[in-house]
Amino acid sequence: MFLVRLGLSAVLSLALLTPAPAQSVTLPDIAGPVLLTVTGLDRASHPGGQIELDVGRLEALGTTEVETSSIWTEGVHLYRGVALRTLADHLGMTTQTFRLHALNDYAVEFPIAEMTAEVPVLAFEMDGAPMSVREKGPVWLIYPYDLDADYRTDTVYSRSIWQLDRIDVLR
Amino acid sequence: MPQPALSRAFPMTRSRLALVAALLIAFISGISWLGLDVLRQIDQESESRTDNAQWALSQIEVELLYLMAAADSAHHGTVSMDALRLRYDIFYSRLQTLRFGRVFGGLRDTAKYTESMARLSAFMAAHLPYVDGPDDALQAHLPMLFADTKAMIGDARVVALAGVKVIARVSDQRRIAVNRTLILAGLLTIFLVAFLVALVVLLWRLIRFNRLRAVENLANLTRLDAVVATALEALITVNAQGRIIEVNEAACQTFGYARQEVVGADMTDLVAGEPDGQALFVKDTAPAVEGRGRFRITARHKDGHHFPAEVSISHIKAGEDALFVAFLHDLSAQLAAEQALVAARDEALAGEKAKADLLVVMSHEIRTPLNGMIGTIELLDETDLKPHQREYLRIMQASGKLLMHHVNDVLDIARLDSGKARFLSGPVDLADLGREVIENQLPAGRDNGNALTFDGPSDGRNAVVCDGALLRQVLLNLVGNAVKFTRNGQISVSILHKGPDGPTEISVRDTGIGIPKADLDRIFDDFVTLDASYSRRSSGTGLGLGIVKRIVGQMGGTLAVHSESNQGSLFRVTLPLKIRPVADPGPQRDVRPQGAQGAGPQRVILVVEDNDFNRLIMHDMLGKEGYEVVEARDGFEGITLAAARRFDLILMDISMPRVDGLQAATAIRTGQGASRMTPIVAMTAHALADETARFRADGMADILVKPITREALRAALNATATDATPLGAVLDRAVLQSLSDDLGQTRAQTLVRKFRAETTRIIRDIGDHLARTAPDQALIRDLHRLEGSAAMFGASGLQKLLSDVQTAWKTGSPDQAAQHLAQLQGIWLATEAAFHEASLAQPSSLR
Repeated sequence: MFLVRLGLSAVLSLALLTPAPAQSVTLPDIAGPVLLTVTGLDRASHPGGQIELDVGRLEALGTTEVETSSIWTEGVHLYRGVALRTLADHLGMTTQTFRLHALNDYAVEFPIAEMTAEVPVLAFEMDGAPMSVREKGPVWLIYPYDLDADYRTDTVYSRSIWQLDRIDVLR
Repeated sequence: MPQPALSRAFPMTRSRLALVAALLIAFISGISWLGLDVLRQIDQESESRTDNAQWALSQIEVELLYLMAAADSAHHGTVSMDALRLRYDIFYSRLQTLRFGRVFGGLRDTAKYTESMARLSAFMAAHLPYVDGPDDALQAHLPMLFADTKAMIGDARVVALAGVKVIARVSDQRRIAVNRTLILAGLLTIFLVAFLVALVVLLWRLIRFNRLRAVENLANLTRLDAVVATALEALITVNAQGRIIEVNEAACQTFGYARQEVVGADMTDLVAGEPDGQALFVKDTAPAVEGRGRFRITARHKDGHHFPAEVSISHIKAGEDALFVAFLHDLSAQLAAEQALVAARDEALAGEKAKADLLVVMSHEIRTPLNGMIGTIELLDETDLKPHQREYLRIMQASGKLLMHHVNDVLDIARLDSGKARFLSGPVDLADLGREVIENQLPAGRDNGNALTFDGPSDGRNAVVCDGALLRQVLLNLVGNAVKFTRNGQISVSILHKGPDGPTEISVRDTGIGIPKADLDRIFDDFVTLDASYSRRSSGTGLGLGIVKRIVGQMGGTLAVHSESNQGSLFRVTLPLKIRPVADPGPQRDVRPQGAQGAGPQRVILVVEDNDFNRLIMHDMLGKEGYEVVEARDGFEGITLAAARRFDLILMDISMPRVDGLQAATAIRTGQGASRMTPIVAMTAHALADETARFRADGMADILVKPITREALRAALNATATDATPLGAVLDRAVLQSLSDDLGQTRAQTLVRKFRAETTRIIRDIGDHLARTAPDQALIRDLHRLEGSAAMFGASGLQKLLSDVQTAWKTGSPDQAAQHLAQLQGIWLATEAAFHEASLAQPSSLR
């Protein structure tokens, strides 16, 4: 039943969300404040084994939108961001696990295999405006909670990490 | 029987089955629904609305401590202002989450939580301007921030703990709800299982029961098979189409078939005639024969011969098909025995009849010559004779009469035993009868020195209705007997009615020698003559009392005897006679002066008789009575003479060669000769009553039974003399007589009486009707009915008149019809008179 619901939600998500852009994009140079740093990468292809992402770079990866309410906020908001899977694809990763770190030292591990193409999303914009730390910014890993009960589970809630600033790829 | 037991044990009707199915469905859907509910609730559990709410709540304390630490560190310059600001922002975000997050909605109702949250919010708001302000201002504010932050730790702890309590309660409630649903589902499951177990038990019992029944049925069938196979009666089982399904050994033997030859054959092969085998067993007609008990059919053997059989059919319903079981019994032997019995009886009856016939013939053959002898003696007696010749003649006469008496006795017995004796009821005067008998026996009594007395009914009711001739014979025999066995004694005859409607008791008492007790039982047997002291001198056939007993018995009476040796005897006859009231004028006959002396012109009589002696006797007797006699020697001669001349009376012998009396009488009646209207009196030695009735029906006015005495002759002459009245035209006596013959006299008289009363009433009604209005169709219909009745009772005058009225009416002559109707009253009066006359002229003699 769970798988059926997942399948169903996937279809519905496909209909709702715009498709991700092509995999290999050349990221522009850092132009604004760094919102997110990905560490633990292959040092051969990434200097220092890490990559920093600012709004420009995130935009370049291709964004998607999620309109939903959440149990932590008041009302429905439109969130915009990059699907976590898009980032994983960009980094050429399929089997690894991400360890996501928040500013408040909250951390959660996330196997790439459990991500779908559109969900979850690394939201950096809420209702068209950047999210401050006070508003769970700069990046909030968000799910379309209203879409399906499968997105209202403890696992999903625990993975909905806000004030996200670093992703560590576990080898 | 097992059937009702089965239904008692397992009342599986259609509606009950439906109930069980509905229950099962209800159970299963209930459990399914509950199962889904549990799943939903578990889903809800996984769809957590609480998140890591506890984590979030406890983090507020941690993050406040971080903020306090950051403020302290910043004050000492070990962290930057931005790091402090980040800590502030993080705490700010946490607080916002707690304030606005849906998941913490339930907590906001708690007063302590709300108060702590309010203080925390106020704390944050108070320091916000410094955090968002320039670094130096913030730097200066740090000690204050540190102190305030430290002061907030208690409130942060309250918030964290409050959440723990409430959230624990919420999840408890959810667990209880899930538990309740699970318990409900469990209970339902237990019920379902129990129900299924019950069904299984029921089914198991059913199976066991059926197995027992099957065994029982098998035993029954085996027993039945044994019974059927060894039954002595043929048993055939047939289906609704008339096909034979099973036969037993007896059936095979009865019909001559082997079992395998006949099973599957059609029942019509075994049954011949009506109803055929098909009709016996086809479903539609079966109810007609089934349960009809035993009935006979004609069965057909294999070799083709038919035999009678008795069959009874039972109907069995075997499922949808009707079966018939026929029990068949071969009746050949029984019928053969019955036929043998019938044949034996017929032979015996034929023997009896031959005996009776012989007696009748003998009586005729003996009496005819005897008649001649006695008549000749009478004639001889009137000639000049020497005294001793006259004495011889007297002896001859006595012997002749005695012989005649014996012959008559024998004939009486034969007649009474034949069952052909008819009782001719008529008016009888008991006083006259008694005196007549006494007078008759007086000479014999005087010879023995006896005194004879007679006492009639003391109430004077002498008029009765019965067969006078037979009653006379009873009295004659009893008195004769008494005279015979009494010397110098007293013989008394007395009659008395024991009640208003009888019975009538006739006693004959004598003071004679009596009858020994030992003999009392056998005196009524035939041919009994007691060896009494002077019985030798008294002659007799020994039939007298036998005749009395027979007559009395056949008249419906009883005969009793009391006797003492040497004291005398008493014979008492009790008879159910119809007693006429005293006021009844009774039979009164116009008694003509005997003979023809001074009786107007001499009457001419034709005597037709083939026997010369008899003809001579009749000639002389009639001559002495003053008639002119013309003789004819046979029927043919009689017809010729009757045609040529009008006689006043014709005496016709019945048994004659060439043309017998009846043929001659018919010829004279139906011819155009001069004597066609002349009364004809038959003379015969054939004394049987049905014959005399037939003679009357053939047109004989009267019957004289040979030997003919002067008295009988005179009576007949007188009777016929009154017949020449016009009343003959209104009443056909032959019809009346045949009615009497057909129905018996008593019944006929009853009917005649009813007819007369009814007709009198109808005729009076018609008179009333005509006084009011002219004849109409309704009246004519009544007349038509009356005409039918009139024809039946021989009222020929009335019948003709009614016929004429109807004819006139139909031919459109109402006036003529009215004229005829005017005569109705007169004709009916005449008819009534004729009926009265006819009732008086009842035949009163058997001989």
